[in-house]
Amino acid sequence: MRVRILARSLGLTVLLAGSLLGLAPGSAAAASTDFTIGIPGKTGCLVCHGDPKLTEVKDKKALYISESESLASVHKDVPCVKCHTDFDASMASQSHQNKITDSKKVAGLSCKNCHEHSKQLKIYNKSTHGRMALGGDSKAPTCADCHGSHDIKSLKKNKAYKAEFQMSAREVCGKCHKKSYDSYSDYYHGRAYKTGATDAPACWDCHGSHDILPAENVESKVSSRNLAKTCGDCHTDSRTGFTDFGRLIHGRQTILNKNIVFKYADIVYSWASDKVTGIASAASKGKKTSEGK
Amino acid sequence: MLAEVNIWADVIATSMVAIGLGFWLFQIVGNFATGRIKRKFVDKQWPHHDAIVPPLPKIMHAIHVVSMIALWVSGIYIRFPFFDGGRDIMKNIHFVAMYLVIIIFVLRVQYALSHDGKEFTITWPDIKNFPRVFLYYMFLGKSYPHRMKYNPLQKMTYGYLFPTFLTVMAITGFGLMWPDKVLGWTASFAGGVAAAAAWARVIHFLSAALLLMFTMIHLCLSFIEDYPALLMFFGLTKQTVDEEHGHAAHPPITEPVTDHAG
Repeated sequence: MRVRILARSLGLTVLLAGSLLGLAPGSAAAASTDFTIGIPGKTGCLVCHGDPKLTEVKDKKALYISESESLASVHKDVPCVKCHTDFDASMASQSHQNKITDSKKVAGLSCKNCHEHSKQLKIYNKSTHGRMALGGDSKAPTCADCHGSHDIKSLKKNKAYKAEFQMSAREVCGKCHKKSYDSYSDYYHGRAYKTGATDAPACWDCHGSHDILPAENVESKVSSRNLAKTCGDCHTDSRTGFTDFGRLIHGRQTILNKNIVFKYADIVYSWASDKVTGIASAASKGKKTSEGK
Repeated sequence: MLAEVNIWADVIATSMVAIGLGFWLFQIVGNFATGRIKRKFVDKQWPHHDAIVPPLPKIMHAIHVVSMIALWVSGIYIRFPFFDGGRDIMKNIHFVAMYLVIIIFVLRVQYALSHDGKEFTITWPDIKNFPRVFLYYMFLGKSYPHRMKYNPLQKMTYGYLFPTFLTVMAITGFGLMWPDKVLGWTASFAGGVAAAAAWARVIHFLSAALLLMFTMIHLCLSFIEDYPALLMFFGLTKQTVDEEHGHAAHPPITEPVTDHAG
């Protein structure tokens, strides 16, 4: 088996080396190379992509894929080409250098190819993210942008990862929606979430995930029509009067800026908060240092 | 409305703490300016006590103090988290300290009913005495008549204000834990159980802030007015008794007697 894998790896190396030397693609060697086997057959792709120094020639973008992360992922038995459907071994040099397709985007939307993910895809296609993707917007977040790619893990089966993912809103949503993430600063939701409170809601707990829509859309989970129901997922008997608190969740700073007394209180709180946080942080560092000794 | 109310609650709570700190500053400056500090801390002219304070109220007071500090720290953290990863531990601390405070509160009320409740009863002479006590604390009067163990302001604080705040905080706190069961009856006029819980949270927070302010004042006056008694109450020194200058040495409380302070 190992010999077979080595032979395949060697085949890819020969193919790529040939391509780089200007040999015609689609040679007999390339055509016979099998990229459809799963790990450990991924060694075939990892001959090149397993090199931490591998980068794109044009924009120096890293192309390294960690083998250990791939092996730890839920897709460890899924061959690379199952997601990278645009990859053609015979056209390897072209697809790699001339970028005929956006391999990342193609792979990011390949989840639909498996039956178990088709339900999420249908919902996603109706969402604001899905509509962007269907409209050809290159900035549209695909499955992989939120769920990860080569290191993807199961949210259903892996409880530890689910807990980790629940606390990753800054990486998942904040990288595109920085303003919204930064303004998430009310008492029991935003501030609590940002200090690691596991019972505080992440973005998707209120806004939805695959079905996410802009708040202005009446179908949105956070539209004024649906807000009471959404809050009701955690707060028993939530009605319209209660949802007024929701203005604080992303709008606390805006409300504070409206009133001079509020502003004064905010200055005092910010000052006190910085002081206390500084003391807590210093105490924590001191404790760590003494433990280290 | 709830959004603004919450921020107003922050403003009020901040002001309560500022008043508490301001009171400390006012008392320190006033005591220096009037020479009371010298009479007390240098000349050792402390109030006299005519009876030993039994250990049980002192133990209950000590447990209450520790639990209340734990409640304030954890409560402030729950509303304004000031370090990472403390939510669960702070909620647990709040939960345990809450039960301790309630148990001690119930036991203390029971003790008051069977032992020292009369010490907290506000009488007509107390009401008449109230302005002089108030003026004394404001440095506008040199002294006030000392009649019983506690002056009218102390009676009001220990006997009525603290128990009222603790009761309100216990009810609203339980309301936050079990909104359906405790606050269900308010749902119709509060606009739902969730809204009732949100209002309960505001009341809980404001009561805590008011209680904190009164406690800061209580601690300030305990320290400045009777530092030896403060140490004694925490078991740090032995109490001395002076029956000749105690309450029993005074005539009935209908007439002004020897001034207590100044």
